[in-house]
Amino acid sequence: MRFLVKIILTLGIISGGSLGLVVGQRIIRPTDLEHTLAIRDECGLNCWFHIPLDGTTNRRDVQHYLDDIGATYTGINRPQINFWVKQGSGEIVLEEGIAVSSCFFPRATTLGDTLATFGEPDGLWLEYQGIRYSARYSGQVYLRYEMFYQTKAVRLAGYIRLDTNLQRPRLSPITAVDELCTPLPIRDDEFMGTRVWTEWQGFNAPLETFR
Amino acid sequence: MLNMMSKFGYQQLPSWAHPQHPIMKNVMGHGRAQGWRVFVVRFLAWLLGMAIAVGLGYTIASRNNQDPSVREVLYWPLVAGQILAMVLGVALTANVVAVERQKQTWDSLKLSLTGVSLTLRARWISVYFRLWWLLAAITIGRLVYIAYFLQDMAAFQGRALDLYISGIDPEISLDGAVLLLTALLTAFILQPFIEVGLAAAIGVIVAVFTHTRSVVILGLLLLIGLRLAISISALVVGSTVFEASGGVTLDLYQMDSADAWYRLMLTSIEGDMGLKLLNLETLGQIWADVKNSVYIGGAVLVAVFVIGTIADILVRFSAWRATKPTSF
Repeated sequence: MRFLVKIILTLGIISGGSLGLVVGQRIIRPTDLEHTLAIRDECGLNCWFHIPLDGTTNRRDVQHYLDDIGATYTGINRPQINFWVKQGSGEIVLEEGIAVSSCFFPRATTLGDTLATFGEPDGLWLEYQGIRYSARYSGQVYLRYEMFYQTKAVRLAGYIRLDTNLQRPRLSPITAVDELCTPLPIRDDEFMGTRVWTEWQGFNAPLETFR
Repeated sequence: MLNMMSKFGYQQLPSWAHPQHPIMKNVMGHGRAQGWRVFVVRFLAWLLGMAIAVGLGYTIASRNNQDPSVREVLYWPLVAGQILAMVLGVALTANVVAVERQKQTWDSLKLSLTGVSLTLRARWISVYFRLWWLLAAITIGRLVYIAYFLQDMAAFQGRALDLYISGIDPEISLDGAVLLLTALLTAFILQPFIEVGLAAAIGVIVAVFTHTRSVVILGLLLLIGLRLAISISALVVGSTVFEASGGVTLDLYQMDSADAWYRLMLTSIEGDMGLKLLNLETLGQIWADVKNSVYIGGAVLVAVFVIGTIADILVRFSAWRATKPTSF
């Protein structure tokens, strides 16, 4: 019996240590999460532009893009753009020279990444867009859902895709995000205000919970 | 280095379980030291056996899924290995009294509780030494499962666990979840050893309570049949809550909490010994579907401890019973 207790304690310490090391990496703030960008000078432009994201783009690169079109980067006090250095492409929308939103079309970003970056949402709203599409190579059929994601600090809008093969679709951390925009364009505030926000139910809850 | 590690490991064992203890030497036999050639041949045969098992696992897994994951490939070889280990555990101890009687040492051993107790315990613990090849293979397979589990945990910049415990009932802190997963991992490593220990202890009980050779064989066959029946039933029950390719079934969500708990525990203890459970995505689904199921890691560890205690009590009881004059 003493041997059993001893071995349980030893294995417990080893297992706990391994789990602690894995979970501990969350303390290290990754560089590819969130960058803040703001525009001060009104360029008088109502424009948008695309940025290719190769996984190494940073906000200095984005500043160059903005400089090219006459907008200036200042740092704070203006509408912020949460910018991800992910692979894929980005789009920045300017209204009267102010960057009011940015959208990202990531190649491999998940809902788990979104929560890891922006925190747990206070509200989440999903709506099936009536769009089914199949992956080019695997032939896998997906359903496209529009998503609105609200935290105390930020509002996001985007699209996620769900596997049609699932018997009971769940909102999993590995759910792919096809598009993510932050913050929502100002003009959409009225539209957003009319929405009934569902309280966040956690991952793996059935999808119908969020409808 | 290996020598030092094994020496340290042996130091942790009770003195009677040490291979150098006279009774253990007697139980294990005094065979001549084998040369390195025999060792290499045996090691190669062991590797070949594992390769064949993995090949068979791949064949089975690829019937459902053209591109099976490593966990799917290893699942059935591990389940088969675990059941085989338990069956051999019973078989290796069910004849311990018959062997001593054949050597005409049983009557003298019976005279003292210490003599009989040490002999039965040594026979019981020797099962681990005899089955090292199988237990080592099972442990390697299970360590692969643990490696994949840790990889799952490292997803989302190490925040995977935060995400999976988000919104579950009851709410639990990250530290609490880590502690419960620690319990699950500990139980996961120990389980095959504890189950083999219980099987071997049951074999010892049968040996003490059966008198003639024919009854020993009958008892052994009965026990093996019972063991297989329990394992197969638990796996069938498991198929009502776990999908073959990972994740949980639709039914789990509709079950009441007690029923879901019973099925999850039965299959995790007596079926596949937690192989399906040790998957973060599957655990996340269970936590979302079944109330209080975040505590399942702790519950499995408690069950493993209870099984280990039962095995210990059975061996002690066998020794006490064997010294009773009425037993033979």
